[in-house]
Amino acid sequence: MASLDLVKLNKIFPNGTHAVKDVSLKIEDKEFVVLVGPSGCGKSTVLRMIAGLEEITAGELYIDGEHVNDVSPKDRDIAMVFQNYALYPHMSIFDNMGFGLKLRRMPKNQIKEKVETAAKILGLQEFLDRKPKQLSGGQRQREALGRAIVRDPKVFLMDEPLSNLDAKLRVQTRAELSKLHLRLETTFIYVTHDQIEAMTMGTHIVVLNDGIVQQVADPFTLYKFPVNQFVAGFIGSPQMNFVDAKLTEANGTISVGFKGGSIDLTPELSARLKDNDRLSAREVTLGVRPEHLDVSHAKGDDENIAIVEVTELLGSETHLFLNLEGDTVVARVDPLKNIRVHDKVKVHFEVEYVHLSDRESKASLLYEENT
Amino acid sequence: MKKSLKPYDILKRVGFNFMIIFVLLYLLFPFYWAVNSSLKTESQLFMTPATAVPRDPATLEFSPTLQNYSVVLRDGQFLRGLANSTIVATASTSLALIAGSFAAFALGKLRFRGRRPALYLILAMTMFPQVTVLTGLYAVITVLGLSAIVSMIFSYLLFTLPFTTWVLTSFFKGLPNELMESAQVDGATPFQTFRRILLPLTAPALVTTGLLAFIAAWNEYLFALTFTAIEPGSRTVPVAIAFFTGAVAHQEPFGEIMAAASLVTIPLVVLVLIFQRRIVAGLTSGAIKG
Repeated sequence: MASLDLVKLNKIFPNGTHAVKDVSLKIEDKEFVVLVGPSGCGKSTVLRMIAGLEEITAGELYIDGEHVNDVSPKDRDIAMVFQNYALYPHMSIFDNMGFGLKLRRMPKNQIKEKVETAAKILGLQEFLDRKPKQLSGGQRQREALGRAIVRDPKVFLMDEPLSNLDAKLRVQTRAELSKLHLRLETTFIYVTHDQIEAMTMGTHIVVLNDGIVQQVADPFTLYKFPVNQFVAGFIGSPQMNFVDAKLTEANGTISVGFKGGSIDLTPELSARLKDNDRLSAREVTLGVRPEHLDVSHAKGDDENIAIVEVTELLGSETHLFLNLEGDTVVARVDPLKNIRVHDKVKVHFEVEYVHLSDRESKASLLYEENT
Repeated sequence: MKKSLKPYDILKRVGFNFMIIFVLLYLLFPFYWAVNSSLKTESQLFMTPATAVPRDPATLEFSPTLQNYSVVLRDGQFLRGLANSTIVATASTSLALIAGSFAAFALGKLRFRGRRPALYLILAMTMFPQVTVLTGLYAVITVLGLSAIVSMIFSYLLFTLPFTTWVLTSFFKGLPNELMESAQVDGATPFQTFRRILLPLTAPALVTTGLLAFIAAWNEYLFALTFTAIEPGSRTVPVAIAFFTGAVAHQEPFGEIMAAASLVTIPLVVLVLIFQRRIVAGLTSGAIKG
């Protein structure tokens, strides 16, 4: 149970790679913080610096207000779950879970009690005598968790703990981890490249790219108000559509024109645009999520006409890949709609949900703090 | 289902099996001949043509004798040699494994300056022929006044240690770093990590390298011959056999030498058979994930 404070953490590897750049982060007690980003974005390095497995090149790290830059991993009171679990293959599950306690010279009966409690939480009671190789992938994953639980650490660190599980088990374990977090009431820091894991489990999500923190927010804010085009594209599946566009203003209405058509911004969105962003003919990128697009069969010479190139039926929904005058956009539509490949359709935008970003800086033009 | 074989395939198979048989014969014939000769009496040994099994010179009936073995086993020199060999080979193997595993852990898993040069230096040590270092070593030993047994133990490290270090280093390298890091987070010191996590996992490699080191030490002749020159009581088995005089003077005790040579092989064969199971068991239990 602890809060963490990361102040301008930097990591430069001996080979010169600057993996983590000025990462500052305040993590409150009992939060479930997810570090998410594409591979190579430095998220694991941040976690390993918190664990003490990676030296901090520059910056300060505080756990519970204590400066721990030079404190060794075992004295930081943290536990870590590794991607490949890192179970000790020659030890039984019991010994694996109790190893950390044994090293701390805890009396045997206490170790037994703690391991058995943890095993009970994780449903591993029957397997305590077995070796890791005798367990299934999911059980091994839980054993790795158990090893962390018995230690009662201040902070739980997890490095992509679900990536070795099959899809079905992953969904199950996701929910179990959320439950575990509520039950243990400890700070969790979780690293993943999977935005779904981030969105479903995190109380706060830290989006990283190229070693730089892009945005820190709760899942809903992140989805609704991405700070830039990277975050907008990273969060959400299928990905947000991006179309090159230009702003024009006429009679107080701002419209966004793109190759295949144009839309008028709502007064609320227009109000969020800063004055110099409203300049006519300003080059922007229009972003719209697939769920905020809809289609109907085209009649006559409507605007925003597209050709259906591919349809993906998922049962609960259908994804349409539309060719909008050369721009490919994906729409998520009702599967009952009778749309086929090569159909000519009119694209409807749910205008109140569109995003605009600067073409150069990729920063969102509609982002507002505290929204 | 049986696939119909083309003539070429049959030829390939026959050729392959023929090669296996040839290699087997090539490897086993010297040992077979030693055993064969050890079971013959003096007169049987001098029969021409030599017989493939011990036969009575007159009747040509199969008649092996254990006489050579009983002579050898009552020979104090030989038994002494066995004891000396056991001490020397065991001690130098143990030392090589202990020092080698420490070194290999450091070279394979820890980051420090000069790791690569150190590795190559160790490899380079195996480069010098025994004859080259022999004189120098002998001088060192005389100056230090070491006994023959101790000097053999330490000089055998010259070839066993680089070998064990090199092999174990690559084995340590192959163990996942996460295991170490996990132990580190669990609160283990580097030594505890080595002793309680990594060392048990290298058991199969320890057994294999230990076995090879033991065989090399057991068979070593040149150093042993030199260092025991003024200390005949410390002769190891290969030297003791070479100095066999036999029961009768002015006569090469060929049968007895062969009996001794066959006996000397037994410990090695037994060791390999015992540890072979451990090697296989160790390899399969070392799996990390799957």
